Amino acid sequence: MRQFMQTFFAFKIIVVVLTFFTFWAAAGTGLCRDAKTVAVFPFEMNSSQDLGFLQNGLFSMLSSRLSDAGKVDVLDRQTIDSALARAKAGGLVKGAFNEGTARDLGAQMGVDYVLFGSLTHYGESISLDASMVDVSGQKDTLAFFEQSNAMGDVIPLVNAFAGDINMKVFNRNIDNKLYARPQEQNPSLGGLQYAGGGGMPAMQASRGFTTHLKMDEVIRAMATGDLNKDGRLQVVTATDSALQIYHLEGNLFTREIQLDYASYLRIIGLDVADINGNGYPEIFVTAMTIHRQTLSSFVVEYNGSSYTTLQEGLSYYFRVIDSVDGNPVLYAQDKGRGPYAGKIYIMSPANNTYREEKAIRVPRGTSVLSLARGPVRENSGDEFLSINQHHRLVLINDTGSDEWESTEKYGKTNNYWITGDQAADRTVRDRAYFNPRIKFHSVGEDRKKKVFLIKNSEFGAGSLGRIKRFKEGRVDVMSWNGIALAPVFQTVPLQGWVSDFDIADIDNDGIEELLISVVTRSKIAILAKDKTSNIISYELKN
Amino acid sequence: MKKIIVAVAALALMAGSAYAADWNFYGNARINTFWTDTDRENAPDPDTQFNEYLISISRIGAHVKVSDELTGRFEYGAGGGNANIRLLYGEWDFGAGKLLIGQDWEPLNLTGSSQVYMQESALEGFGGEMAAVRAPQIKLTFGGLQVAFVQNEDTNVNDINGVGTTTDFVIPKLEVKYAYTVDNWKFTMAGGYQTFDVNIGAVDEDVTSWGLGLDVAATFGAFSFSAQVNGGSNVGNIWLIDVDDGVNNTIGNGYALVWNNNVIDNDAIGGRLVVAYTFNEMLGVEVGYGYQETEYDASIINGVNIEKDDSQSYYIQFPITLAPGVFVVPELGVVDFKDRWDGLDEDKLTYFGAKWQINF
Repeated sequence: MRQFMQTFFAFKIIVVVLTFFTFWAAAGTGLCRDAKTVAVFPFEMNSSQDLGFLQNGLFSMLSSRLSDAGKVDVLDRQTIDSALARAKAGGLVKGAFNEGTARDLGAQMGVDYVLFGSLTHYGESISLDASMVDVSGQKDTLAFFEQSNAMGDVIPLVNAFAGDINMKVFNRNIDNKLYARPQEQNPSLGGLQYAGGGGMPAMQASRGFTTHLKMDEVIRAMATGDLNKDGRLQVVTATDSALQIYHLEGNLFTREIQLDYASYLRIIGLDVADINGNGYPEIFVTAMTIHRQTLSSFVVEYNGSSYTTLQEGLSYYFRVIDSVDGNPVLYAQDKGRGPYAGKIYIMSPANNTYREEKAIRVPRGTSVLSLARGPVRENSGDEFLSINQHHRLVLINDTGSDEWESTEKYGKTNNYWITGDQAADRTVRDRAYFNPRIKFHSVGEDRKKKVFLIKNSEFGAGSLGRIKRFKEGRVDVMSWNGIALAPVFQTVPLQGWVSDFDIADIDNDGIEELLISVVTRSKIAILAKDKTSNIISYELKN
Repeated sequence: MKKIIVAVAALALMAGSAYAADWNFYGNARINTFWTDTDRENAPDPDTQFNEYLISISRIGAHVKVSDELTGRFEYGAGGGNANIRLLYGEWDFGAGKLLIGQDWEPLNLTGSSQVYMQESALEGFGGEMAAVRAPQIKLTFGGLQVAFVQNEDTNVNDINGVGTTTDFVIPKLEVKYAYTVDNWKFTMAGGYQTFDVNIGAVDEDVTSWGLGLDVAATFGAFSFSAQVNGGSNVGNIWLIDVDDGVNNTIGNGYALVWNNNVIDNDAIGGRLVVAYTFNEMLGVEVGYGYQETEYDASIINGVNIEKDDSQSYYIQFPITLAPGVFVVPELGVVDFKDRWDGLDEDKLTYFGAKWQINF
């Protein structure tokens, strides 16, 4: 009997201990807590622009800000998309979301809350309208609406909305500042992401970009300069056969003048610099004719009262490249047998024109349009960096040989040259695509010169079709890590393609901006105007 | 089992290679829809005919880039409704130049016309354009200079006496082209040479083909033009000649004639002029004219007085780009086969219609 009692007590103790540990473990992992599930549906975007990137961004931002391990689970995008597709197919969702639809759909999905809303964008104004619906109906719907005059305010608005939800629905108080991803241990550069200097994952920045201009044309190139010596920087943009000159008023660009040129011109490059030394900077315009087999570049300058053409019909590609001491130098590449085949010269002014002063040594396959003067590596001599015809980044040493070549592809634009003579029919001729500019500029805490360049990504990695179709583009800031150039900072991916960029203090606040022209749509279609470009900026503040 | 392992290994190797290289696949589908009115001198004119057909040069292919120095390409067409190899080559960029091995366009291919009628004829054969299309070759390129050693062409020596001939080659067909570009002008010169022995009974004769062409093209703003003259002897063996309405005719196809144990050379001369204006990315206009003639180097053969055999063609077209890669090309034109070598009149075709094309 005694032995039986001992065995019984031992068994009870084991059961109690096991039960305790089971509950303790469950509590520790939150299993015994009542974790709430939230379904965040894609926001409706009311805008004449394609803001697909922002729609994705809103989802990501809200997911990260609302998620709380063991307490709040936010469904992933794939699950949401599948559920939404099923609901639409089943007729549960017709047209825009409303509270009733959200509740029905949420019940069907078995979630506790449904978050939906819209973002309306008109001019520079934005309005964020959203609702957090309790599927059980026990809590009132939390509505949120806020507006702003700056596109860059989307992130603070989302922070505020997420804060409201956390406070009022989940009883969680989080300072808005904490929504920004940790950056203390990493260098920062305004609104650009930290790219880790190679290998480390990119990190989201807390600050966004500002939109200064939207245009229903494709911006082919862009440059900045004080064209009329009024002490204020102007921004010059180029569409197919016209130049537009703007200055900043508030957050928006105000157009000063549009200069129209022959309709058969197709502009692909712009630079602004006072090369002839008369105090007024010239605008060097690289242009092709519409056949895209002949160059017809020209130079424009403000003469005190109007913009006049100094030179025209020039068979050169132009690029102004800063020398090591920071002075602008005009480089020109002759037409050659193709965009990557002509000789490149340093040009000097001579009697209202420009003459070839000296040829530089560069490898075959180099285009002056995507050439910049280093040094890339510390303590090295004359070095150039270029993006070659295969879109590889090439480090060119002082003997004109390629010292290093990237494995990744950079550059790419939608500006192209018709090449090949095997078929007269232009519909099947090969195209040689131009690469955009590269620029060296001192940024970051170390104030060392870093490389700014564009990276446009194609659908299907460019493996389908002769025509480039871009998915997204961004600007990378790179520096030499001892063995290769590696990204240090980068902008968020921008839907469409980045056609050009420049670095200048356009708002005259003592902080330079990275100015980017983004082409979001560039289709050609009968009876439809389907082209949109934007100019946005990031502050390059440490 | 061993075979399966080998097959899997081969597939894995191919997949690995494909992954390592840059592949750019492309293709296009083209349909012609044309009404043709035939004017016959010595017979009743047939009714106007409508034809819709897949153009044989519709294609699918890929550019392959293994490295900056090593590239390749393949392209299949739709000749006769079947897939046919149009291009298949590899090219090595060795710095000073390029070495191409495989089937590619021949250097004797000076194009300038975009005529879309028939199989996108482009004034080739009957309109004076030097068109050597594609052939297996070993080609060296140094800047604007191309030198190619091309597969021989010997099947077109006619033998009207029927004694039977055989041919012997010692060297490949040689083709050279040089293009010089300055500002908005482009000058291209091309020349080709081929020779072979033809054995006619107990007699050996040389059939030598040679041809030269000069092409000038220029653009002035939205205008462009190209002009070409070419000529040679027995050029049917080195580029396409067809001045006899598709009939396989010795003189009309530019071949030498074997007659009475002799080789009668066939001289050819042709030229074309094309002027175009591009209004914008969507619309352009092109006008073209071409003339081609061939003539035996003899006055009487088999008791027939020999005359020149010629043809001409002219057209106007309005290429419309509906969207990038989507084209419609309405065209109105005439292909006039004029007089035959024996003095008989030949057909004159007046046509209207359009080419429809989507690139993908």
